[in-house]
Amino acid sequence: MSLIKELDYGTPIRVSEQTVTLTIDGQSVSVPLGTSVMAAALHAGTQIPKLCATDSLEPFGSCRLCLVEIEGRRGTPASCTTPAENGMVVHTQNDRLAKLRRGVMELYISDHPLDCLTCAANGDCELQDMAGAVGLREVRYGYGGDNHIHSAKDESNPYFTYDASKCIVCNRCVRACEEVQGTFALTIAGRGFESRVAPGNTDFFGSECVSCGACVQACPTATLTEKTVIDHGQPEHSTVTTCAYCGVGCSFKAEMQGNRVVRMTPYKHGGANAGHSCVKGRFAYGYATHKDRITKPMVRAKITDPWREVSWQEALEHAASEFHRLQAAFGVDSIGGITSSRCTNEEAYLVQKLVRAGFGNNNVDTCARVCHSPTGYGLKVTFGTSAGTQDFASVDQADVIMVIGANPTDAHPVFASRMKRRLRAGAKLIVVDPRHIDLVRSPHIKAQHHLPLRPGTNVAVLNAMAHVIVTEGLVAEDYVRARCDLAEFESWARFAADPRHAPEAVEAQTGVPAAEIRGAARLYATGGNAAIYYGLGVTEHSQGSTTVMAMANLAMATGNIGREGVGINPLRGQNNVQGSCDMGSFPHELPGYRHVSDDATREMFDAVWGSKLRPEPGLRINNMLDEAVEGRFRGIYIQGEDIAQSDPNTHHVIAALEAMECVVVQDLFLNETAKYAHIFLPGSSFLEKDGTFTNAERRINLVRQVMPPMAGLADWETTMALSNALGYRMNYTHPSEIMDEIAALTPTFAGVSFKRLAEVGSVQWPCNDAAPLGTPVMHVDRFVRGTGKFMITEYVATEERTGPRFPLLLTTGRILSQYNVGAQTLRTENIKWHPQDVLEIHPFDAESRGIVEGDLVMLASRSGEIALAAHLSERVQPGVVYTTFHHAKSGTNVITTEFSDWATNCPEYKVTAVQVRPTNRLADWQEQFADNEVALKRIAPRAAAAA
Amino acid sequence: MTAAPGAEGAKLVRMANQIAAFFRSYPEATAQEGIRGHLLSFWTPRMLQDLCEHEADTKVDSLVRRVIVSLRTTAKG
Repeated sequence: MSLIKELDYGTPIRVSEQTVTLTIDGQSVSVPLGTSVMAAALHAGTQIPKLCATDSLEPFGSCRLCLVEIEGRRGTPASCTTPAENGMVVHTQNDRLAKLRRGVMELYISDHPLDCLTCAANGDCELQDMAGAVGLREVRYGYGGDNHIHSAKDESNPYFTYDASKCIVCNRCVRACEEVQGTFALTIAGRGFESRVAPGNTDFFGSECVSCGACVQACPTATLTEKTVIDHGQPEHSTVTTCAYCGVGCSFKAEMQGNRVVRMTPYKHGGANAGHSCVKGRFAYGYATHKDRITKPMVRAKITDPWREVSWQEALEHAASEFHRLQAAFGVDSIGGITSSRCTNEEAYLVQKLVRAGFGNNNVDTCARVCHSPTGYGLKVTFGTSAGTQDFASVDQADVIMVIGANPTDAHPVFASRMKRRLRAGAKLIVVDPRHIDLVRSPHIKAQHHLPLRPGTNVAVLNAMAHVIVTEGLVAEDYVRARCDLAEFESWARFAADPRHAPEAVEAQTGVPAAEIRGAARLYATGGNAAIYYGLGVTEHSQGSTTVMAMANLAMATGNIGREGVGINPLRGQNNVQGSCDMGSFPHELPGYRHVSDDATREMFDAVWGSKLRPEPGLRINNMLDEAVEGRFRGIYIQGEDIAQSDPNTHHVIAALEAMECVVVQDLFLNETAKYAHIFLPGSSFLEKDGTFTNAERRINLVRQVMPPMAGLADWETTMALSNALGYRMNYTHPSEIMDEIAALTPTFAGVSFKRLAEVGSVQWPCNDAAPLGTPVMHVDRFVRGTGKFMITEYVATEERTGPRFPLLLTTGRILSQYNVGAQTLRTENIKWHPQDVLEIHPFDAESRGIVEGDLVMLASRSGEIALAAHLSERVQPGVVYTTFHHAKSGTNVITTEFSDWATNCPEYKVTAVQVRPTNRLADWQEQFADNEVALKRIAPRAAAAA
Repeated sequence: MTAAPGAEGAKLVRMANQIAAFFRSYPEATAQEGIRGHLLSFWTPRMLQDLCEHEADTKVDSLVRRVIVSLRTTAKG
């Protein structure tokens, strides 16, 4: 193994159908129009010295090191800022250029510490490399003049340091913050000799910096350096793998010293991220080796007993015997399983296979139930397939971007950066969100329309937009006629044209000014390529599926499906939520979204699995919990999911778990659900196994093992061992064999194999003979279902209503530094950005309740109450409060209710009627939580366990 | 709001009524077909059976009640 070094062309790779041909150092080279002389030289095999240039950034031309001579032109132009032209004759090396470059390097080095041997960047320093490349042998100016060598370090950021003494003011960090990340947190403060990189008038931690790492990545010296590199030194080998946080699915190089990750650096050739990263993927991987990791299997008879460490064999045999006992006593349907959207495709596939073939029922579900299940339903009904329509790169061609119920800068930051680049380039923006999210107005971005709707009224707003499009003659009639079911369209158009859907008619209901809705609809319909991006603010409602269908209606009516720049794009929450759904994790569907009642499909699986699959759907998670309370559902196998924290109405979830006789939790940590478990099987992190993740754009990326499983088994091996203990044989020697089975059984995955993925990097399903390299954009010539199907989407108000007791609406979400239940990010330095969940409340609502900033307040709903610190904010509108659910001790889901989407039972996390009042104590649930943290997580000392 | 034992039936009724609320915009026959198809696609046989036992419940949507009748007929057939 070796360290993967990516070639840096110095300036961005240009794409053009036209080429230009020039001569560089006597060699002819043809490059796409727009390519710089510097990049053209590298195409010809010549690396021109450079410092301020890197191919992730537009050329800047400040370092003066990349000078070249061009015949017929005066002077020595910078090769980075000079476009290659036909017939150009370029010289990159001669005595004159060498002298000029050495002179430049002398100036740089005269104000740079000469501590190369002890410098953290030793071995990975472009300044050092360039000094060598230009043959610097002396510094005639000496080192005694004014310099910055004693400048103070800024070590405030938990992950990297800013050592101003080593800064050459090349601007790469500032430009990376602007061009790559789009945050504009950095600038060059001062003039002339005083010029220094500055994160505003504060330190890095206190600044607008979002710690994406783009500046660190861009820095050519030791100025911005990862603290892990400072602590441990340079990595010696690296492996390309896939981030295990959000649904963007960024590719990273895990840079290693032996089995230790020294740093994670974004991979330039990553199909989803193209070399960019966020604070989670780039830096927050320390949870994988956190001291809280449980690495021994454990069992206990009762949840009040201490855990007892046992061998894998004992734990697995005990689990199998318990599951057998329960099925013998209470029926074959009395147990089930939950697959994980954090685990690999292969692992999700094995869990659902175990449930269907090993348990002999279809009681399998996944955490997509509580996030994007309405996406699967809504898009399958309207388009014919349960997935987003585009790749991420498609946004580069969008003219109008509508973001609805999503906060990409916090939850999908790497894609948000790409989207912001497009917005800065002129695309128009519509934001539909109750909150004033960052995208509404941030540096160099301002939404043309912000529709701050009342939570729960998405469908009313989208129907009003449809009304405008239909009644103002904005329907793309040719498209509809050619691509869609006309009878369904006409029925929908009559529905949409009804005056009750007019923006003016729904203004009071939605809280959105009619003129804004009309403006947004006109822009969406007439502004060119229009793309919709959405998140859980769409799906986690009682009308989540209806909203997805309403968006699909808009896209079809305006012809915005089937080419680049348009589409319906779900921003998936977890790293493999798309994949876990693809792999047959829902109780009604086999892998590839084929219903269990389909005889031909079932027979195919029966033949390969040696099983007799059941033709009727199984229980969803919420059904399992309900039946557990009823006493009919007795045991569950949960891989990598923490339903006790993440699912709604915590009291109900816990009551259900407590009612079960055998709860098996497979996880990295003793999570909230494990408090109510009887068997704990230690999980493996993404660093400890091979497999694949599928991201929000249907892109299947390889996950590669970089260290051995801490508990001895990867998750797929554990599921296999459990299945074997149950008596249903599984015999795989590597996850690639599991993928081969998936491909053999699933038409949309027919062309997928680990070999193919290793060759091409990634593919987007469908990947088969018709599309051997995958399908970036779907529904190009026809919809998967044939014709696009318009659905009538009547607005039905949620049953969760405000009233005198609960006059406010609570909506929940997540923030940039944290990930879902916090099990991972709270075990990293990211906790410094979010030490506690707080309640955002509008100053008007706070004042009327006598609440000031930082007050402890009691948040109460019909489900329960919790105490949180209040944060006064105008990001929420009056009447709406907002909080996050990252800290288990907050108990946010004690508040949320069991109301759910009509089609999928996705919980209505986004609308809960609440009241807020000042308090001076924690809620009873929170007091109990503190007790349970001790009582339900005890592990018997080894000696006692052995006795 | 923890469900007491026996409360599951009420939940099923609420879920079925929600499904009916979506399909109500369609003509009666289409709506019934949609509700029935949805229930058969996503509900376990036992959930369907439990729902059928609530046929007389006054809280059951009239559309759902008509679907229950057709489900019973199918089961008998």
